[in-house]
Amino acid sequence: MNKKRDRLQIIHDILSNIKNKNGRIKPTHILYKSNLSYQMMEEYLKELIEKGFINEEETKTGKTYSINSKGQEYLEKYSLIINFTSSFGLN
Amino acid sequence: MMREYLIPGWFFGYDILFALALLIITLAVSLYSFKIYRLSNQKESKFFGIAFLLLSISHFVELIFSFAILSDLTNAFTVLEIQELITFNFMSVLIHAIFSIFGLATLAYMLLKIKDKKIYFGLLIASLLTLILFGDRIYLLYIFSSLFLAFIALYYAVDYFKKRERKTLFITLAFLFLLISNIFLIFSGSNPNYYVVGNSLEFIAYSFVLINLIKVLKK
Repeated sequence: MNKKRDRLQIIHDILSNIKNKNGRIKPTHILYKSNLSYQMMEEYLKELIEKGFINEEETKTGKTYSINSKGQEYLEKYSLIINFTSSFGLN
Repeated sequence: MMREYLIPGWFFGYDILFALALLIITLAVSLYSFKIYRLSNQKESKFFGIAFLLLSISHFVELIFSFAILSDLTNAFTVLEIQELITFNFMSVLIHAIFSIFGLATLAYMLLKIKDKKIYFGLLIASLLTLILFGDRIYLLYIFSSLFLAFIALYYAVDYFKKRERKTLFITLAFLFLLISNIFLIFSGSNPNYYVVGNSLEFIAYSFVLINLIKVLKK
């Protein structure tokens, strides 16, 4: 049975999915890849936009999400973030 | 009732070194926590950073006060009049106590996941008023600190034994040692050696925190 993911891991998974799709992705792809309910996905996407990790764009075919520099930095420094939060009991 | 806290003469100087080390360690943890918050927007990291920043300010005040007293005793700098010394002592102890208790209260609030902010601010205000209104501030500081540290140490100990994650061993030990050090400091009014033991245990506790931080940075 898979261990329950925490918030930091879910954010990592969403950002990784966006990055792996050449930096731009549709919501349905995120829903499929990130293993979240639609409501949870919407909440996380809203948070990621508000906090500046991703951008939302309206195209002719619908919404797409792209990762920006803060999101990239999160992915690069993810192991450091996890090490710090787990070592100091903050997760 | 006022108590006298006697510090063994030979310990002058060592307490300054300890305060300096504690200042550096708490500041380093605080700055790194804020860096992690900037990267992740995780609010626990923000509160952890704020808590350790408050603790580092309290150690800074302690350092300045201890240095001023030592300077006066060795007559190396300006000689403080007795009244100035009493006022300086009053303000330094009060400021040191306030920042120390606020730091620990912030840590407890964050770790225990207390949702109601009113409880947090209520604790801060109650601590502040008690410190200002009652005479024996050092004793109150150690009592309040021990109460908060008991909750914090219990949280980490339960978390460690439940999850068996070796990563949190050092931070668990740190807060257990901090709790024990404060208990010794409570009784340091009756025995000056307890002041030495308490400060030494506090130094060991923060050494564990430093080791924990170094382990994170090395990976």
